[in-house]
Amino acid sequence: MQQATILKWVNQVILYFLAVFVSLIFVAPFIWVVFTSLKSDSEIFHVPITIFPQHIVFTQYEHVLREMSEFAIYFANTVIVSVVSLVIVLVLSSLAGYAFGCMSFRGNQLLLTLVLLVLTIPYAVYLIPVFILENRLNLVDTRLGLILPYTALNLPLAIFIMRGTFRNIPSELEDAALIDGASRLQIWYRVMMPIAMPGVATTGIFTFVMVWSEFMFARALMLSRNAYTLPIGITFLQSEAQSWNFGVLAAAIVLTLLPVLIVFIILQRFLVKGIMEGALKG
Amino acid sequence: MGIHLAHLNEAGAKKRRSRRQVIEEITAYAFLLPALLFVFAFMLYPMLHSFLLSFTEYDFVYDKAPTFVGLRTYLEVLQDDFFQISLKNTAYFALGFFPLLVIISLGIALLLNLPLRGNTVVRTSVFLPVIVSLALTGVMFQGMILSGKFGLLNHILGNVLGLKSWTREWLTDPRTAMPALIAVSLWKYVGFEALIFLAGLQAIPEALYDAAKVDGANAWQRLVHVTLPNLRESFTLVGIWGIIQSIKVFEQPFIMTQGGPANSTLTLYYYTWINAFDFFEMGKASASAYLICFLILVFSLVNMYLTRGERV
Repeated sequence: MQQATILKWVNQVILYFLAVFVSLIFVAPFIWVVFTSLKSDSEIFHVPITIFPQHIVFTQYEHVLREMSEFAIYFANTVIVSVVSLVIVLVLSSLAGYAFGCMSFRGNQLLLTLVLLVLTIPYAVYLIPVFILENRLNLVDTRLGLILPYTALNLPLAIFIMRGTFRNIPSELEDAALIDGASRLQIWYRVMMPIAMPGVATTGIFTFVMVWSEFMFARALMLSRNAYTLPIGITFLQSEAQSWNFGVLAAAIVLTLLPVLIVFIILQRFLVKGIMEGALKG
Repeated sequence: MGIHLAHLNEAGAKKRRSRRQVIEEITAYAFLLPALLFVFAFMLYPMLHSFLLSFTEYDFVYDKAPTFVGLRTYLEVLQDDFFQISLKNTAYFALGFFPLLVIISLGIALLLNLPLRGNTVVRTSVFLPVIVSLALTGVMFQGMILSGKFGLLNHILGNVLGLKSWTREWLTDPRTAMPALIAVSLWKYVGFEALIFLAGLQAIPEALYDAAKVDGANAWQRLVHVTLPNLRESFTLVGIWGIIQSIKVFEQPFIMTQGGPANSTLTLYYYTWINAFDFFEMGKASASAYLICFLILVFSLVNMYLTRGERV
C-alpha cells in the first residue's frame, strides 16, 4: 500500500517534469527573442552570452519604430490586406455556408465537392496563373492584388466551417420565421447570424492567422518595397541583420508577432474548438 | 366530382410548391454566387490554366504566348538534374519529418490527455508555434536559434551542457542543414497534429478502458489494444495533413538555407518556385507543380487505404 503511493507520486513527478520540458521546447525560442529585444547592443554581443537581460532597455523597439520607416509601411500593408480580406471572407462564407447548410437546391453536392477539392491542391498550382493574370491586369504591387487571392484561398475552409455551424442550428427558429413571411436574407441576417457567432469567430481566427502570415503569394506578387507585407519585409530585415543588428531584428519579430498573439489569446478557445470539432467530424 | 376536385387541388399545390422551390433555388444561388465567383476566378480557373500550361513551353518574359509541346515539358522536368536532386531531398525531408511528426504529436496528445493540473498551459505552449508564420519561424531560427556565434542552441550546448564539440553552424553544414529544417518544421507543426489526436483521444469512451482494466490489461496493453485502434480516424486526418506538409516544403529552405549548402536543401516546391519566378519558365513550373499534386494524391490514397476502417 505504502509502496504503491510512493510509486504513484514518483510517476506524477516524472510526468510533471516531462510537461515542463515539452512546454519549454516550444516556448523557449519566443522567450529568447523577447529577452534579446530587451537587451542593449553591447549586452547582445557580449561573450559569454547571458540569457536574462541584465539591464532592460527599449532602445531596440525605439529604433524599429522611429528609424525604420519601412517597417511601418509593411505593418500598414499587412493590417489593411488582412482586415479587408477577413471581412470579405466572413460575409461571403456566411452567405454561402447558409445556402449550403440550410437551403435545398440542385447541384448542392457537386458545388460543395468542388469547394472541398480546391482545399487539397498545393498553392503553387494557383499561384502561377494568378501571377500571369495579375501582370495582365496591373494588380502586381497593389494591395488589391493580394486581397483578391487571399479572399479566394480562405473561402473554401471558411465555407466548410460556416456550413457546419448553420447545419447545427435547430431548424425550428428558421421555420417559425419562414411562416411569419420573412425573406431568406432577413432570416440569415436577423435570426441565424446572431446564433452563428461562435462559428464566425472560428472562421475569423483561421482566416486572420493565415492571411497575416501568408508568404508565397506575397513574395511572388509584391515586388517593390512599398508593397511588401510583414512576412516578406521581415526576411529582408533579416538578411540585413546578418551583418548588422540582432536586437532590432528581435524587436521587429516581437512587433510582428504581437497582433496574432493578441487575437490568439482572445479567441484561443474558438481556434482549439474548431480544430478539435473538425477532427471529430472527420 | 369530389375526386376531381381533389386532383385539381393536388395539382395546384404541386405547381405552387415548384414555384416556391424555384424561388428558393434562385435565392440559394444568389447567396452562393459572390463566394463562388472568387473560388472560380482565383482557384478553379487557375487550376485549369496551369494544367494546360504544363503541356506548353512558355517563357513569360520573352514568349508572347505559350507553345503547345505535349508531354515534352514533363519529360524535360523529369530529366532535369535539379528536379532529381530536389525529389531526393524532398524524400529525405519526408522520411525524417513524417514519422517523427506522427510519433511526437501522438506522445504529446497522450500527455495532454492525462489529468495533470496546468495541462492547459502545456497545450497553449505546444500550440503557440502553429499561429506563427512559417516565414517568421524561419527568420527566428536562422537568426537567433541556429546561428553559430550568437544562437541559443549553441549557447545551451556549449555553455550550459558542456558539449562544446557539438556546436556548429547548423544551417550551413551540409550534414545538419536538412535535419535542422526537419526539426524546425516539427516545432512548428506538432501542436496542430497533437490537437487532432487529442480530439480523438477524448472521444474514446471511458468504459472501454474500464473493461480493459477489469480484464487485467496494463497501461501498455491498454494503449496498444484500446487507444490506438480507436484513433483510426485521427490517424487518417493526421496522415493526410502530415503528407501535405511533408511534400510542399518551401518557406523553410527558401528563408533559412536558400536551398544550400550545395543544393542539399533544394526541395520540389522550391524547384517549382525557381522555375516560375526566377527563370519565368511557366510551362516547366506548372508541370512540376502538377507532379507535386500527383505525389500528394498518391500518398493520400495510400494513407486512406492503410487507415481504412471496417465499417459495417
